[in-house]
Amino acid sequence: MDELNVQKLYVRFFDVDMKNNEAIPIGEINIKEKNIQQEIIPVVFITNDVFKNLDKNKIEDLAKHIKQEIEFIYPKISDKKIKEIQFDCDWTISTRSKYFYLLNIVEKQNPTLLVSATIRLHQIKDKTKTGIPPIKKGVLMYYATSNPLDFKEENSILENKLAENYCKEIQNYPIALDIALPIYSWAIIENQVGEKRLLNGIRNDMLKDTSIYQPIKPNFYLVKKDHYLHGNYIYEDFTIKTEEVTTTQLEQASTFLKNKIINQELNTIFYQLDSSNLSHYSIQNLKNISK
Amino acid sequence: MKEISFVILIIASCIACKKQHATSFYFWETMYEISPIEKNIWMN
Repeated sequence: MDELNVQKLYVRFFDVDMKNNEAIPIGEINIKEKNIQQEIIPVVFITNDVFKNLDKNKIEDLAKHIKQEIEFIYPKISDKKIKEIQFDCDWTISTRSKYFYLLNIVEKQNPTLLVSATIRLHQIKDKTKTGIPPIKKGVLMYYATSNPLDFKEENSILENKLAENYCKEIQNYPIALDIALPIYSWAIIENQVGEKRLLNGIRNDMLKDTSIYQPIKPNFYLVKKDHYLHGNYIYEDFTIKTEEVTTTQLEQASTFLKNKIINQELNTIFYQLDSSNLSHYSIQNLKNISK
Repeated sequence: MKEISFVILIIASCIACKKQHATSFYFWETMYEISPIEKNIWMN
């Protein structure tokens, strides 16, 4: 991170979900040490269920509770002042009005803070239907271009052609955008009856042993014997599909977006920070992609 | 006068250039497994 001169870390602090008819923080981050170098930006993921179940009065309370929870966690990770809070929600037509209301309330309650939000590809493409969040800055999540459960040959993390199709009119999007590019990987495991599950952090180079993994076609393997993979028991005859994004794909994505997005300041955020993910990309390449 | 404009232009370009170099990361320490796809269970 030093070599890359990373200035900001967007850290997921907690999710908000419904439990016993209440919106509560779940899965809070477990902080082991303070970060003294980067600016930490708290990210809060909120499920659509929250907005389906809460009325506007309760959303005002939720805005306060979220801020309080962030203020409780923040000093454990940073000595700096909070400058920005980011919300992450896969909002839809049915939840947008309450989600946007929450964003408005948080901004009103915290006029000195920058309130930003993640924006998914379908929300860019269908902006007239899904609406435009009332924020000054968004982050385009330039990944998750299809459903990994489809188990097709395309890469569900990023297919540039599909992503570009979503962003044909991104130059007209009325909010300044940063871009988030995927450096994560995973394997989709299919069992003998066609059920699937995900294993994070798997890449092709982990499946080189042909006595265990028989290549069927690019990125697909047939398991030849029972074994553990990343702590998960994998049986013979399971099929594994790996998904990862190459440097060339990231460069193509970055070039496309930089030509399209017209805001003066365009930051690149890589999803997600992990020593294993980082080891697959050279510092120089990541620097070039961020340029 | 032309020289001054040129210098200003260079400074402005450098600032613009610097602005576009910011690299950041998302850090998800743990995944709260809300989405079925993120749960470690079998799905159809």
